[in-house]
Amino acid sequence: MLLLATLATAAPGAAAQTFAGNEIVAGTAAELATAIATRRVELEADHESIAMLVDTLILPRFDMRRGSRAILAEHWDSASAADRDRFVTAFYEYLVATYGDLLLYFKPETLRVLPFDGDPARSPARVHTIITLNDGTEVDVDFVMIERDGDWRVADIEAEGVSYVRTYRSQFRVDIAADGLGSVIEWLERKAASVPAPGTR
Amino acid sequence: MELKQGFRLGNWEVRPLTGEMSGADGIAHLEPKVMEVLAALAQRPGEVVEREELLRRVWGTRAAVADEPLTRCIAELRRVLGDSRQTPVFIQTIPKRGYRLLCPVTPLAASTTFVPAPAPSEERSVPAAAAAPAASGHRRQGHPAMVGTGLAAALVLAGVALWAMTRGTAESGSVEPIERNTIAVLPFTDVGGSPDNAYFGEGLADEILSRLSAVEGLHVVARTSSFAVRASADDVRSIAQRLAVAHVLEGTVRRDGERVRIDVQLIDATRGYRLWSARYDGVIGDIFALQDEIANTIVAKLRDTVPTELPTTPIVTSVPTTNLDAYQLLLQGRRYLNQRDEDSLRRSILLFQEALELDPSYGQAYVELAKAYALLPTYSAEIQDEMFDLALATLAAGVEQDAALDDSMQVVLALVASARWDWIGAEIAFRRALEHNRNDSNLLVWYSQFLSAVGRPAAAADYARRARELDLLSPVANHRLSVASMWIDADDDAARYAQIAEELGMGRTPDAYIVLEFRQRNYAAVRPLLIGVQTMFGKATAWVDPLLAALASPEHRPQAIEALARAEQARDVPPKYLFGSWLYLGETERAVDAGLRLVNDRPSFNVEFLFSREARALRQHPRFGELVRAIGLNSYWDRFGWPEMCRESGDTISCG
Repeated sequence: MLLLATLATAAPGAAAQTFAGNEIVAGTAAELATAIATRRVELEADHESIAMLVDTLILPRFDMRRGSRAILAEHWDSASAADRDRFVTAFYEYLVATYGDLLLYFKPETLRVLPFDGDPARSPARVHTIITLNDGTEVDVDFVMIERDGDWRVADIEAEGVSYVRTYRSQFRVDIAADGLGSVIEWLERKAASVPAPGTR
Repeated sequence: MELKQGFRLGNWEVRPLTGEMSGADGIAHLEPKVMEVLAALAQRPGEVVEREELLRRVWGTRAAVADEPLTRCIAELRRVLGDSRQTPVFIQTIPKRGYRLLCPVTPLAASTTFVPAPAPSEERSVPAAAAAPAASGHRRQGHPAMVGTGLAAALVLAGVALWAMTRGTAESGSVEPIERNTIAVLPFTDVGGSPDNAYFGEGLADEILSRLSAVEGLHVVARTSSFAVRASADDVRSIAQRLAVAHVLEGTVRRDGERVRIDVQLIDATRGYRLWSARYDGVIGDIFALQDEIANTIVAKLRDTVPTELPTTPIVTSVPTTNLDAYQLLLQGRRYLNQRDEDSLRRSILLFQEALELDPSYGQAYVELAKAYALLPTYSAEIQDEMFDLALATLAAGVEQDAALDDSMQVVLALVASARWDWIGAEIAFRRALEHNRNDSNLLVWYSQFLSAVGRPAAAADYARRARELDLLSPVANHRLSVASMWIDADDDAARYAQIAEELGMGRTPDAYIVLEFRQRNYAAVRPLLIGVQTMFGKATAWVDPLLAALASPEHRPQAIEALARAEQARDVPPKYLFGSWLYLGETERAVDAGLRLVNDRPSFNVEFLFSREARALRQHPRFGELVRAIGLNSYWDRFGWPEMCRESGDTISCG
């Protein structure tokens, strides 16, 4: 899912050849670019089809449950199994809703995957990229990849040195302290349901 | 190649004799030293030119004790060229080594074009880009390059006066006098060993350095700096000048099976002769005794030559492990631990764990492992409390094995207590750690950070200065001095040390960066960071531009307040940015509320900021005491004294 955040506003570029993670990031961007270009009308008309696209293309690259645990931190440990499941689903839906229609602005222009500078056999490893936002702003983005059972997945994204996981962890810590985990989950669910239809914002 | 008459660099024509560069936007005049640096780089386009070589070529043997003049020259060149450190088109920083000119150089009087050697592993070194708009001073909008260049530009502009004052020191050769009781221990060269064994020579030097650091009256350069200069091809005298020391210890180590041969020499670099040299032959099992012996001999030799009185009590350290494989794993682990990035810290953890498997009674390995756990959350998304619990459990296990660990583990206890806002516990642990490690620059950096957080910015700056004195080339020490300088409103120093830290390879820390840029009124430079983070993380950006506009011109404040309130309602602003933004907008009541919520996320709450000039209105707010009590600072102040700026009157706490 973290990939979604970046791919919503970027496109594929040259990939380094030395690390599987680089190829995954660049390859996913390329697949997304093709999907957007060939299915734009369908995606604009149907929010569900964007969700499907995310499910098939993006989600496999992200460990949603592990990411949710990292974000909820100590609140994950104290949450019931049912609340954990509900949070994972709600957060996923929230992200799809938040980013989903932004995918429509995805252009095959600028996601530059920079050469890998780490040890490709070690997990976690970082894929360095430069992302160009729709307004031309360029952002230094690192994908932190972890390997599990031979698959590399995105565990975190750092934009301009700021961690996605830490940012959401901070947000939810503050919100949970104020209103409780249940309230945060409900807020995510409400937010997901209230996002404008695709292509309308 | 002959470049004196001039050369072409991208779209620029450079004329060293007149000190001019002409490009699409007109003519830029360079300071003589700046031009000399550029000319030196242009002699070898595409190659890395070591910092030491540049210093020697441009400043001669009179090079300043540190690298500031060179750093400023590079920053000035980047400003003029419209280049940036993050995504260079012209000048690439090679961390801990030097600089490389990326684009082709063509002598104006000749037709030959010298194309840089290909750099296949560096996608950013695209010579063609040098002819792009960047060469005329244009920068891509919003790119980190712009941030970096903006910072460099701001720093250079703001620091021109300071530079003009200080550069005379370097150019006139009137370097600061070097104290006689100073020494740098260079990493020992592993003779005949594979590069993979470099850790052994480093470890040996590190152990001797550590023993000498504990000697009262001796000023020992910290490892980051002394190990960094060793990578250069400089002679010992130049190294001593760079590190501002009178003495240098260097040596070699050769291992042949169990046998070890160590050659050492102590050089009086100021007077230019060898003070002492010796050869030690032994077996690997003698290594700890040899380290003591070498350290004791050095102290004895220095006792005759330094004016300070050095203790006569011999250094005697207990044998930390009888398992030499475990010892070597510890040395390897320490090497990674000192690199301070996520991957290196994780590697160090594995090596320390392996050392403990071989020798479960190895006390130092417990401490190092605990330190790695405690540091990892700073460099990764690991959950801080989980890592701290692991660190404390590791220390507890270590103490069970070795009760003498109590002193050496204080630094870890201090780090953990400080991050958990156990201010009293942290102060006690720091003081105990400092009793035994007064020359540990890392410890001084952490204590400085702590002192800033408990409202003692002047003392924090003092400790930061001491840390940097011990470790001139440490990016962390320079960065810390930058931040500590900011809190005492020494903004020029803050900008200067931030620049040096960056040149030495320190990644940008967003929070300090934002405050510094705002102080320079360089609001546009911060925009890409805020917009980038908000967009990438799926958050609305509508509040960013109104906020920046209001900071630039107060008449935009109402719109900014409205936009921020809307974003707050939609939970679209990260809590710490919300807290800071309300403060900057002068909405103190809202800042108090945001601060009290942010208390629930300690890792995000930069407590140091509470004592900045930006937070003055907050400190004078009637509800400031709520924040102080929520953070627990009042208990600390009750125990260790209230800062001059603060007082308690009944339930009210007010700080100036």
